[in-house]
Amino acid sequence: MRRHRRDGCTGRVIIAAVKAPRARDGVIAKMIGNEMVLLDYDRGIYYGLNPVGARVWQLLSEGEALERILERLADEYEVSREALESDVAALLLELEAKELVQAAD
Amino acid sequence: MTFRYGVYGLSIEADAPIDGAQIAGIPPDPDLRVFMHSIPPSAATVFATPPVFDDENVTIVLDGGAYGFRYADGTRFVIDALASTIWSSAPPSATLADTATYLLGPVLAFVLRRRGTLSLHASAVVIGGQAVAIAAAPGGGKSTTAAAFADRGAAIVTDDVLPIVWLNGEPCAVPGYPRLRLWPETVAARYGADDALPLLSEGWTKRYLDVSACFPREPLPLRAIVVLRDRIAGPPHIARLGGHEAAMQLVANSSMALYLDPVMRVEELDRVSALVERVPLFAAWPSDDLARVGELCDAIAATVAPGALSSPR
Repeated sequence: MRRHRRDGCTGRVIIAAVKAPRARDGVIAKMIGNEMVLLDYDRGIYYGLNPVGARVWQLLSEGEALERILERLADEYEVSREALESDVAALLLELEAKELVQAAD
Repeated sequence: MTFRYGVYGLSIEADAPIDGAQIAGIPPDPDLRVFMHSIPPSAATVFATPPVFDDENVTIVLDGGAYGFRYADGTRFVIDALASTIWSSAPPSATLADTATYLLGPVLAFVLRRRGTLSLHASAVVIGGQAVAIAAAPGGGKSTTAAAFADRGAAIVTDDVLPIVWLNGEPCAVPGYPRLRLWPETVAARYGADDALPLLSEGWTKRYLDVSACFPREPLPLRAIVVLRDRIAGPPHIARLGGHEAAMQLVANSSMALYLDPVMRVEELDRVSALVERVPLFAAWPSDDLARVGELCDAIAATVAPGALSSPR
């Protein structure tokens, strides 16, 4: 499930145009303060998310498009758009690799 | 003849002595009935099913809600679907003390989990009238650290299996049984010779420290949880953990975590998250020099002292 593409010149991951994935069935999320633990309960795998990762997961769960997720994160955190895209892309790749998300319907 | 015990908050009626367990007055309808001598044919059928877990030490089977544990030495346990009855059988060479060693460790830890009780792979000691849990992976030093506290006069709440219950909205540590199980090298390092303490049983290499003199009978408020990490050169080090890191540490150090089914895992995450919100959690790196375990005790005691606990980060 490759959902990102790279800028041919800079290698930067471009994610805003693609559709956001959603939580895979069988994965539940639990807030711990402003952080989050994901549990893939069939496989017994746990995954921790920092506050920004937890926020991304919340927005994914609300069905937001990636562009909208990036806009909201940009409003909530003092970080450059480029850094934000890079961080979110890295997180989504990690979530995909661990099969915690799946393609949206 | 029946024998009655209180272990991990469970009232237990057994048909034979359970070596090491705390004798207790229990209600007429105990939480758990234990049959130490045999497994009836109707219960033993569970072993005809394929394993749900299998390693060099134990094979676990599941049939109709009943679990079977078959250890490499031939000792077997069957736990009924309600986790209210245990049958056991052992090879002719084994003693009741051998069977009790399994029973008081992994078997009752599993029973607790089946009954919905969060249980950590941890020892617990009493500091300032409250319990401090010391969790670690097997061989990670929790019993050694607890023994060092015991040698300073601290009461021991439990060794290896720590059930946590909520009483009046407060997480509490439930007493186990009044022994600390120690490896021979730890016994030699602390008490001068590896045979300075009695064997758990003839079939086991571990020995035990009797801590019955000031063993608590009731649950104690849980003040803090310390997770022991890798040993390091030099003095021990301790640091506060919070958020998902704390929760992940608790999940990693919960009892019998390998054997939880999906429903139990979801319940566990609920309980762990509630616990992390209430009880401060620390990571501690013990010294690789066993003689410095006292410094780790000092660091833990100072960390959980009144006024020392503050918000993480």
